[in-house]
Amino acid sequence: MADKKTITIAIMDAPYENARSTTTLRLIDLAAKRGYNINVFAYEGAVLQPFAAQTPHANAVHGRSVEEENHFIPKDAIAALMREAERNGGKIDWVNCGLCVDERGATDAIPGVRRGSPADFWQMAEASDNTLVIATR
Amino acid sequence: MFLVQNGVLPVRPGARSGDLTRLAGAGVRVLADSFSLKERGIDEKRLASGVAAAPLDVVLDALAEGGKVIWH
Repeated sequence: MADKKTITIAIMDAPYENARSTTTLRLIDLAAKRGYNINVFAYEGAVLQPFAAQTPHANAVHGRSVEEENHFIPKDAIAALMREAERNGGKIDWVNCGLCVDERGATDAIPGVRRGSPADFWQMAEASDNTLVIATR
Repeated sequence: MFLVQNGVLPVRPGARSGDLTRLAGAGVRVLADSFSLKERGIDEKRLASGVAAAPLDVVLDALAEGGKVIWH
């Protein structure tokens, strides 16, 4: 693909806490649809975005079952985005900050997520067409 | 300038939209994320003067073209 791009995105937000997570996944989705290679460096709470132990739950207050509640699970969305990128000839390289993982006990991530350090972020940015840092405030 | 999430709230014509209109008048392209507008029930046809609705693709286009994109 002549116009194939590589984009690096750094995120810091833990799942369910800020709309920045949604916007980040939307950007990754758009890039995956275009067949781009996408590097993601997850820092601080963002290492919990692909945490494998996430489970959907029912909603007893509203009387809805797990299926009816159809709760959004970030790790499933990320796995779907990885598949989508591959279908379109791209790839998502998701790196979780190792020290951030250790601090949070978030070692069990979905397949396709690897452990790294800020040095990986630097290398990914160097090898990319562009980089976007979606920082917390 | 691309407004997203709650950043789209000031695009409703009113007391807080004047700055955006003045910014657009000064030559800044002011865009508001269509998805964020829809989430908040803001009609794309009733935005402050100088502001236009646009998809998030605009940000990815800018990144792909090598623009210096800064999240604030």
